[in-house]
Amino acid sequence: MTNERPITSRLFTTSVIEGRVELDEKYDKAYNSVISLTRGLSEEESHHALNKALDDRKVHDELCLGLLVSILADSSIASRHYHDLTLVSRDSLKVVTETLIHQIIGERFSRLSESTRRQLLWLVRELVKTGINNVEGVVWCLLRQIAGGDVSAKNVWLAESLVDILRENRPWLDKFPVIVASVTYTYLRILEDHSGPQFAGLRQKEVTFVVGLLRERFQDCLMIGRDLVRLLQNIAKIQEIEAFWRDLIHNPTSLCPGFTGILQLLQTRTSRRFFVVRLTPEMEKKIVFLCTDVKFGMQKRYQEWFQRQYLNTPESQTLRCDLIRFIIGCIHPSNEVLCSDIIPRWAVIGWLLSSCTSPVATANSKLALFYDWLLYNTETDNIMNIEPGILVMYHSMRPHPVLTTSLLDFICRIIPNFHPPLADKIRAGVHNSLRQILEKRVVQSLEPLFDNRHMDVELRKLIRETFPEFCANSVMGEVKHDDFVAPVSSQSVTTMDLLAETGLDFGASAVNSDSEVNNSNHIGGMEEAMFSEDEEEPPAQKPPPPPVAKIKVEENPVTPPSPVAEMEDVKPKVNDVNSVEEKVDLSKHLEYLENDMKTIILDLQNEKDTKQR
Amino acid sequence: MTSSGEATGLEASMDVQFTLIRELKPGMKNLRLVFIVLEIGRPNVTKENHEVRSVKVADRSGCINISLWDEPGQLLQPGDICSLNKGYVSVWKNCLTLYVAKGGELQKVSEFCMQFSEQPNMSEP
Repeated sequence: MTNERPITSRLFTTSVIEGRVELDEKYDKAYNSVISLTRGLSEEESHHALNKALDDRKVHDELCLGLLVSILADSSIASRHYHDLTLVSRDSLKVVTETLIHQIIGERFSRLSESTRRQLLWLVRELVKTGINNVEGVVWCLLRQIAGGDVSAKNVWLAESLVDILRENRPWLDKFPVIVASVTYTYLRILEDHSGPQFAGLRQKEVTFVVGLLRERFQDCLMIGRDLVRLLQNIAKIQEIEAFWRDLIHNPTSLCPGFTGILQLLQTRTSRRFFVVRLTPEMEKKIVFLCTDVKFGMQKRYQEWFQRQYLNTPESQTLRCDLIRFIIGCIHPSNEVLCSDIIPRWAVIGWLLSSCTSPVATANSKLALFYDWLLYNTETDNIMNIEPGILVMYHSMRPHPVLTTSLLDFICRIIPNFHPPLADKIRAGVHNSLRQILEKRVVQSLEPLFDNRHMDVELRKLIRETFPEFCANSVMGEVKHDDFVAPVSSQSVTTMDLLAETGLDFGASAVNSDSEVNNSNHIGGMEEAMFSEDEEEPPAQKPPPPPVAKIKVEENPVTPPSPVAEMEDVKPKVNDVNSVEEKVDLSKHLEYLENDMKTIILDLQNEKDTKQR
Repeated sequence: MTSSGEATGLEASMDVQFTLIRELKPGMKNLRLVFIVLEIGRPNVTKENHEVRSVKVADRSGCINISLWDEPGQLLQPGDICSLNKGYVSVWKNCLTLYVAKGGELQKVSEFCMQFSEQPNMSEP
């Protein structure tokens, strides 16, 4: 029954379900032309034969490719063929570097066989040593392949191999400021994953290397901007990092003349390229697909697959920050997408926050969400970087109130605590963000968040103290709707809300008509995302479809048991109505909700997450 | 594993185009499909010591269960996007089921990035 056919590939792993890739044919042909041309010849004779053939441009490209394939496939002949390559290439190895960047590493890295990967790193070392044109692009591609949150042998080997190459070739590295910055960003981030005792040796290597870059090439590292501070804080316990941090705070000019201090860094928005460098192309492709092609309500399976592949271990929780920064900084949906029924960014981020299994990673993820708020500057910052923060809070109010309250708590406390000497500036930055949010009508009003009489008293007080100018001091603090009290009164609406409560898949909120909240339908504006008033919107706010129809779309049955079980593993403190009783009948909960919702929420809010720093 | 029912003249010409899951009817064969794997069932072991799995797959038009023998069933993961040729459908235990014919091939081509619908479920009895 199984098909017998040659499915082997020189460079890639194959299996019954994954045969040769399309490129294999091209590579084999190129390889064969090299071999047939040089078989049995001495080195000198080979060069002669190759050189003669290379007069034809097409032949040149194919032979260079063939030599590349041979180097990657066969370690015994790699040295010699590399030597041939450098001698006969007429385009400064352009074919080689481009093939590496776009074909070999680009999106097929995970399919390279182990021996090919080793040869690849061997080759990159040679290319760097030789100072070949454009090898910095190859290095950048490889940096991306060091997956965050992945402490498998394969990934750790890549991180170590690359840091060795870079350490041994500092003069080369120093010629490329962007690569210096990208390498610094990568290794500062990866150090967080290499905290275990089994990584002590590697960690020391990485620390010495990256601190060397920070101290010696600080003017290059400066270009990273504010996320540099975030990364340093995450590994501040490392001795050498702590020493660097002290210099950064107390002795900035020692690092770089003209560097005025940490404020300068925090005021610089981090370029997208750094968020990109911390996601593998595969991760990027999937997250972008999730945010641009998956309809709101249909995301559950994609999220499960993504979670299973990349977020399934305790060590992998650090990846959530990278994903959140990427979504915030790099996915700025077109108006077309914003007005469609595609899952909004805040829902994806909400999922990443609420499915996190590590308290530290959760706290860091909250910071990642609000990071651009802290020193928001209307001139240099982008509203699209602060929009998700407010919308997660808003849209989680009903289905996931504990998330909202924990985020509110976080944003209040981060202001004095992030960096106490700069508390005033940060206060101003956050206030600026809120002003912008209101000005651009990301939400119509902050009242439901800031003046909610159903919220925990202490939290409300904290909010009032932190944001007095955004809180109503008048009796008009009366909230019109969208409280924490679940508006559920009839069975049909309740079923949908419960799904959201227990499943916490941010699928329900699109269905609730929050007329105060500008949902995912942003209309208008050309360059900047502009947010219209509710009244101007077409009735694209779909009324909640009858639950039967909606449930049909979700392939799981409505009953809560499986999501509840999931949530219990993940987050014991989640405001999950069902967390006390496990697998229960839906109808029992209807009554429960109607009578006791307020009490439950208040109780659970008193267990609120404290910020862990 | 032979297909039940004879191919009609219409269906015989199917092998050049891709068929949507929603279009599948008993007796169709020589099918080309592209789908994404949603769920992989637990294996059953046959008398000849083969592992058979029922795998739920979907495209934009709907979903169906495919019966996979041995390695392909072992290797596939939810989220895998596959191309199938020489598939055929047949009714088994009252449910429309997709199979890979002898000489047919199931290949993973990608992951994740495909829209799908779980309605209608063509394998519902």
